[in-house]
Amino acid sequence: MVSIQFISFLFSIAVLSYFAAMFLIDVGIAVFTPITKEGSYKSKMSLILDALWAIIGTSAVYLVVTLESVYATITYVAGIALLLPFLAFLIFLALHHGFLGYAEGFGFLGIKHLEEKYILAYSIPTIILAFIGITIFTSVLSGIGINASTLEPDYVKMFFNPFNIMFFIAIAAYTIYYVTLFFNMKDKLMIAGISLTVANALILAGLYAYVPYVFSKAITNPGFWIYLVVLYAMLYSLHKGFRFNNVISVILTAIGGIIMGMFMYPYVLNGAVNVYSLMTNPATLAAADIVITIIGLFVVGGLTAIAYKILYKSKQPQVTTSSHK
Amino acid sequence: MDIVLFDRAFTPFIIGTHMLYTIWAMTLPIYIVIAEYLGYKHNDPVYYAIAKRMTPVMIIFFSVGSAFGVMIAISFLTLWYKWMYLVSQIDIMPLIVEVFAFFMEVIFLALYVYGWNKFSRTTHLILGIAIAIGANMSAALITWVNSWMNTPVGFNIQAYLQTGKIEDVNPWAVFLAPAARYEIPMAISGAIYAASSALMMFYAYRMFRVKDPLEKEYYTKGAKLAVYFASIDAFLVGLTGDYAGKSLAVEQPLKLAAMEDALYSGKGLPEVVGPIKIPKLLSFLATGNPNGYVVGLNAFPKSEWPPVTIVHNAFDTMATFGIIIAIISWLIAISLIFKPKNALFRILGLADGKPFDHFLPKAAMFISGILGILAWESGWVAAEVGRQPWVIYGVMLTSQAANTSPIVIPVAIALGTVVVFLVVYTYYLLNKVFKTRPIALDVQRAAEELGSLGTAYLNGGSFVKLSSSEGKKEVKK
Repeated sequence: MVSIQFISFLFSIAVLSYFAAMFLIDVGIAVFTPITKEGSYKSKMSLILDALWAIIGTSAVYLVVTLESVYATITYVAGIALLLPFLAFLIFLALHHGFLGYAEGFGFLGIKHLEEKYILAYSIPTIILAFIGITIFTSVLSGIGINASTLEPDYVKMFFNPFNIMFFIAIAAYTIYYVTLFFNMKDKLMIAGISLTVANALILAGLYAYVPYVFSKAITNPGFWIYLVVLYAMLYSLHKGFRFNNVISVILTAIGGIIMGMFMYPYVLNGAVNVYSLMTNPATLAAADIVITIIGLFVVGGLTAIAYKILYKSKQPQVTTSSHK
Repeated sequence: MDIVLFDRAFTPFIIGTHMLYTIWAMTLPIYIVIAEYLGYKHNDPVYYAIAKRMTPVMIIFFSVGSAFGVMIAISFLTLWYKWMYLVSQIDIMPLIVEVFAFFMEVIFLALYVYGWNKFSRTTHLILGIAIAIGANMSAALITWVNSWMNTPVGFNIQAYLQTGKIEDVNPWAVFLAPAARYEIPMAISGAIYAASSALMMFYAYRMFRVKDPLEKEYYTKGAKLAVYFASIDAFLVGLTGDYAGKSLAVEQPLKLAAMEDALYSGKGLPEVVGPIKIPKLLSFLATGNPNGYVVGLNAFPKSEWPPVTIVHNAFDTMATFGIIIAIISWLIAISLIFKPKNALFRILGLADGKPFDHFLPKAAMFISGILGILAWESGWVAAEVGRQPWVIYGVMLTSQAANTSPIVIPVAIALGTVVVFLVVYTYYLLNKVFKTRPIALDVQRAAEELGSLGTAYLNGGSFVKLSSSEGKKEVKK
């Protein structure tokens, strides 16, 4: 029989993967907006960002609370080993939210130049946020920069180690592929293909060198290879202009996160700590799972889709009107 | 520097700042929806413009406020991780449900903002109400966590104190934490009270400066709404405050004794506010009986007393300022509704139902805003400091919960700097934008939007009331 702990683990990985899939759209837009010319994909990106950023921000709280409810002991990991990255994360998160809020507020008032100014400003803290977020993830996965028995951190090692840098570049490359697919940028097909290959190569090389047990699980699992084939097949779909590329790209990214989680299972810190030893008491886990599921079903799935669809559609005419002006 | 003390100073700084934004998140949706409704009901472009101009304020306050919300969540996780460990084990359910409320607020906010003229009027108003429900539910659930800290339940406390093990956990029981009954209504009514008084201040400040009749009408209508909000909510604050006082007497008698600076237990105790001493009032307020028995500080070991001077002064500040705002808002509301003509109201500038034409009521409204914010923050200080030295009453001391890593200080100072920057910059930007954006422009647009649906049209700076068909023709032109 499946244990409550395993179900809770699955929930936590699913929420983490959902957040990653949403946040990477944010990061991708932050990367593309300053370098994309007006009139191409810029307006579309602006629409998506306006519609989704607050939901992405709320998903961060959903993730933190889910992790706290499933892994009570994680509070000690956060308070001792990950104190600096978490506090640094907050600094840039505040700037990210602030600049986006200003941009949206001015956009609502029709003050275009101020909206654009703050959209440009938001991209810097967003990329730094992504780097810190990835650092937290790679440290927990590989244990680099964290003493597994005392949780004593070595921050220089944690931030500036080859595995973290490789992973950051890999995620940046994957983001290019992801955003290309999400926004149906047919003209960037080649770049997307190269980016995806770079991302896969760097992630596999990093896992091989620094977290070998995850690497072994991945390459011996047929599901992993099928997943890779599907990712490349999506490039063909992009070429053909399949209309659901955006939705599928989000789902595929979330599935990628879940696959990574399953390969890590049941360890963190490079096999030194079993996740079950970090878990909350079963009574709280069972209760938390019920509410997390309800939120997941009604909010994460349904309302995100509704909000995206309605907002996206409802803002379309405004853009058309303003462009005529 | 003492790191525990630093943690204890930094966390209230972040929470205290966040609280300045939550009051807007909880109040503005209601305020905006009512203005929008009045705009539709009376085909009044001024009310409609109030709703539209306040919407971006709501967005910006929400975004900066939600950033502070995440900051609080992560600073709890990092600076108070030992406390958070207990919360995660026992008291996590309100936090998880709060995520649901937070999502509700965010999604409906987005739908409301981008839904102007995209949904029917009724649907749009319902979306606004849904934001208010989400925001207030969110506040209620966070207060629920705090209630558990004041009156912990849902696990075997004796076993935990003896062995340090967490046993017999019932995660749903935290929703029955006794303090929730009186803390939640008090927090919600208090937040709306503080925001209403701040709105009164804003409109009073603007009314001192404007000369243009259209702008005057705009600020007068905005001020009226704010005054009605405050005067109605004053009753709720009074009722919930009274209930909280009586409940504290039973469930947290030490906190009540500190708030009232009541050293000795006894029957028929007086209420002392500064130099004023009212016989038997404390007993009456705490028990409903002028001769009721009230527990004093001396009934508890001195080591368990909170810092009495801080708690007592904060409590008195909250109560006194709250009463002053109630009197001001009630008097102005009476002036607006009943248009009294007697001498007293004439002296106070409240005669003939035109309080906003006189200096005294506007000055009183302006001061109300400052008092409201001070009362809001003081009430929270009294409630939180009143629980000290415990972070979870009778279970965990605040000093046991703090993170004493030296890295906390530099990073938290950097974080604090960003917080101050965002607060100052947000208000600076809003002020700059609204200064340079003429109200007439927004009222004209509002008139056009309403005119397209029927009846009002702005022509050369003055309103022309039109029939439905005439309005449509004007818009077509």
